[in-house]
Amino acid sequence: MLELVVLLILGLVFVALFLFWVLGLWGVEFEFPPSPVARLTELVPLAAASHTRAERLFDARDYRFLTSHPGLRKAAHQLERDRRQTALVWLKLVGEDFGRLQQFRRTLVAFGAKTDLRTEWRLLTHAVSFHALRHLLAFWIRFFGLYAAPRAHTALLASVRRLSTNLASVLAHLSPSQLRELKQTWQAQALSPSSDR
Amino acid sequence: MIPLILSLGVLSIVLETLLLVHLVRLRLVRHYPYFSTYLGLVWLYSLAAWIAYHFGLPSYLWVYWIGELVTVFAGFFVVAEILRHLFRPFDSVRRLLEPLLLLAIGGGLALLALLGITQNLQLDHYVLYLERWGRLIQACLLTSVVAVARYYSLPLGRNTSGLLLGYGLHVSLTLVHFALQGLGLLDLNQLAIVYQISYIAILALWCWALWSYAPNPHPPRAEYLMRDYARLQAALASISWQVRASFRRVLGG
Repeated sequence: MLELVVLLILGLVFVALFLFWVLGLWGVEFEFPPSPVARLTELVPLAAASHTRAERLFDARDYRFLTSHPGLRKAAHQLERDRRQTALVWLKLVGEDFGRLQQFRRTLVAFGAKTDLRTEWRLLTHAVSFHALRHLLAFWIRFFGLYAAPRAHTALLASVRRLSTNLASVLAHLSPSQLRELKQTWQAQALSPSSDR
Repeated sequence: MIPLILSLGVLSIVLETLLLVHLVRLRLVRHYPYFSTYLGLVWLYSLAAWIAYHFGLPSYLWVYWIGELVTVFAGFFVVAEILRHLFRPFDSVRRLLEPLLLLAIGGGLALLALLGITQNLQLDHYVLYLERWGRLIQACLLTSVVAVARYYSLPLGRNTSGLLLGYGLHVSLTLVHFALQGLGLLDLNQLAIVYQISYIAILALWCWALWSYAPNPHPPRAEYLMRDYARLQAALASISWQVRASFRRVLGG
């Protein structure tokens, strides 16, 4: 009798533990299949489009701290010069990320993704404003310094993010076999020396 | 009520068949061979027991008790499958844990079987005795797996999570079912219906979890696991050395 009661209590405890886990109260990570944006970044890696890294690059707090100490002004100018070069490289990489996303979009359209004149016009104006802003920011940083630059980098990142989200939403409608085929075509294009970049 | 229980039995056999055919079609049997073996054995047992009961065959009781015994032992395959997939990115850890686990389970079951024989039980009581303790060991093992995954932040994919959750609930509910049956607190037919419905829900969960191949993602960081593995390896090496040294002393002098 006692054995059965103990068995009943233990059974109920185990049922409760597993149900707690289902309700997410036990803190074990349960990973669903990758989200469309995660699937997109697997296919089209975006090296420069990390918001956290860009914020740190354009953050003037280190520079201001160094300039506030008379003995560290030289170090402050060196820091600003180094970060300026890094920012220019970052701008170039963001431009490449945007270009890669546009190329991927062309592949998607060739695969049968729907498009119309209005969407194409919108994307064209978006691309023109992105590149114009990027070159203007590069010019400003090169000639006026990194910390004199307006915070246009957030607008650039937002452009890249908007395009990624649009492409990811198209990816979400593809079947697993279409995704596999797209991945093969995209990877073959990426490796081809004559690929239009 | 009996027709309802039989109909639920048919539904569970249909779901088991669907899942088995799906595992074979999608070649998931390659990735989850132990679970597929368990499901195959359970399917054969369910079919044989349903046919024997429906046609009133005299061998029904033998089919039932032998089938229960086989499924209890086969359940350990499911635990092994889950552990295999949890530690798949860590070959060295898996190579150390698998033999230890086999030794522990084999030893535990052999001890249980011997204790049962010494108590001179009839077949039905013997199977019930083994089933209760076997399911309890399985429930403890599965809870430990969840605790280890939590402690080392090992992410679980949809397949492994479904197996773990489904089998964990199945084992726990079986324990509750046995206890309530033995205590006589509820009507046996109503208890059988509730148990069958819960089993059908678990089969549906497995169908969802195994509908496509979704392995465990690679864990981003595993320094704590590797640190503890190194400690365990060092402790085992030390024990092994001491045992060998003792043997040499005994044999040498």
